[in-house]
Amino acid sequence: MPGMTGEFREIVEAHQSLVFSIAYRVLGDRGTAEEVAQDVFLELYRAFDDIASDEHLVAWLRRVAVHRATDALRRRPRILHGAAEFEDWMAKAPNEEGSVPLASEIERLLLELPPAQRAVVLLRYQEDLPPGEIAETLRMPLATVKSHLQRALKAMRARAEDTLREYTRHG
Amino acid sequence: MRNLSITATFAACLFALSVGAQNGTPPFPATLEKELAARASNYTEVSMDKKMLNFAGKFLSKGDDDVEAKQIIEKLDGVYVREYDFEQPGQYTAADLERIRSQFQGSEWSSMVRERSKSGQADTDVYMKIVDGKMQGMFVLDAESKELDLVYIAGTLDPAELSKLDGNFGIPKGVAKHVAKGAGK
Amino acid sequence: MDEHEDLEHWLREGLRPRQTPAGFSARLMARLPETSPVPSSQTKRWVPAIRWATAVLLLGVAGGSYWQHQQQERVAGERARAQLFLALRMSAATLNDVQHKVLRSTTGDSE
Repeated sequence: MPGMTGEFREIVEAHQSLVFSIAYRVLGDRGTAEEVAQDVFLELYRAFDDIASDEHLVAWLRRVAVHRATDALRRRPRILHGAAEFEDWMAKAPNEEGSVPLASEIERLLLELPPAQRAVVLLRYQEDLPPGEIAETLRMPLATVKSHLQRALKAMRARAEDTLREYTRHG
Repeated sequence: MRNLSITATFAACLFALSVGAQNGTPPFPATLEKELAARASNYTEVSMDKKMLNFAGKFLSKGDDDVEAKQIIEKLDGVYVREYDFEQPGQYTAADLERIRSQFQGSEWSSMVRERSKSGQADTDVYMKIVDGKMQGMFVLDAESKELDLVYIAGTLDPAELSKLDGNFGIPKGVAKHVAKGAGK
Repeated sequence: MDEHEDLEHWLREGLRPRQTPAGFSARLMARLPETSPVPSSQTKRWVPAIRWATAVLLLGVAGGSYWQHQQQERVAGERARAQLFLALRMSAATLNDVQHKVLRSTTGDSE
């Protein structure tokens, strides 16, 4: 456990976006995402002496964030309707032009995926990890990661065709 | 009473500098606090007496928010906040609120704001403690059908100064309510 | 750009990390345990690449039990600071709510 709270605070501030973003995009619920993100950092605080390097820290945070968020998803039945909740939320908060921000649209598409595919897509496109590192982070066979990625992209492409054309037209 | 003078007094109140006697303990009835917490779906209780305020003050930085906070707490003897959220209306009673208000009925306490809704679903009270013409405390009770908020501040306070902290930290009240249970216990 | 690349492009654009809610780190710090165990002198402990890590290490080598006490106090102090901001923010939010209610009622927008 770190004896230097200032040091820990700096680590939190450097990595809180990463952890929160993973949690939020797995769960689709801001409040629960914050709780999960806080729990991840509390777990880090307890396990701090096991961290061997900066690279290890980031990999650790990614892995624990995904696991905690998917655990929370399994435990909270209402989150199964995450896509619908997300759509409701978005319906209340259009931007000035009346259309949905790209990030929200992508997140909506993400929430329609099964949790395992969601996690793989996040690590690939939010964290920019190659499939081999995703497999290591999630402790999943590489073939499984590639399969999840392929299915996720296929599903998202089918749903996103019209939407993404809009963004392409408007740049 | 609902008139502009109360609002003006409340909004523009600037208080004398003398701190006066220390009021180190929260005046909320302890058994009622436990009962409310047991009934609440979510609650937050934060208690900081003079000693804690001084201790925390040593760790404030030179950042704008910290400087503002330091200026505020220098004149305070304690800050005690209780926020309770309930699943259903009716989880606290008018009698509960009277038990709380009864702690602020002494001759030194003056009721500055007293609002009662016709439906009985929303009460608002602000009391101030004035001793020898100097402010020594403030109590706020903000009750709605599924929410009860209590704030007791001992010492000298400019509400306008404190109010800025809500905007400064950019946290809407709803978000503050999502702080983990038992924070500050 | 083909369709596949198009989607990947939009995924990268749309999945940039989001900001945490304001006050996240303060709320987290308030939840940290009150005390931390003494760091093991046997373990070569990883030090994150942060600005004052080296200075703190040197202090640790020189300080012994004084160092432990200082660290414990710092942990407790940061926690107290976080609790202070929590208390002040909650108070400010309640005061503002009450003020708005009073203003609403005095301008006739009441039950």
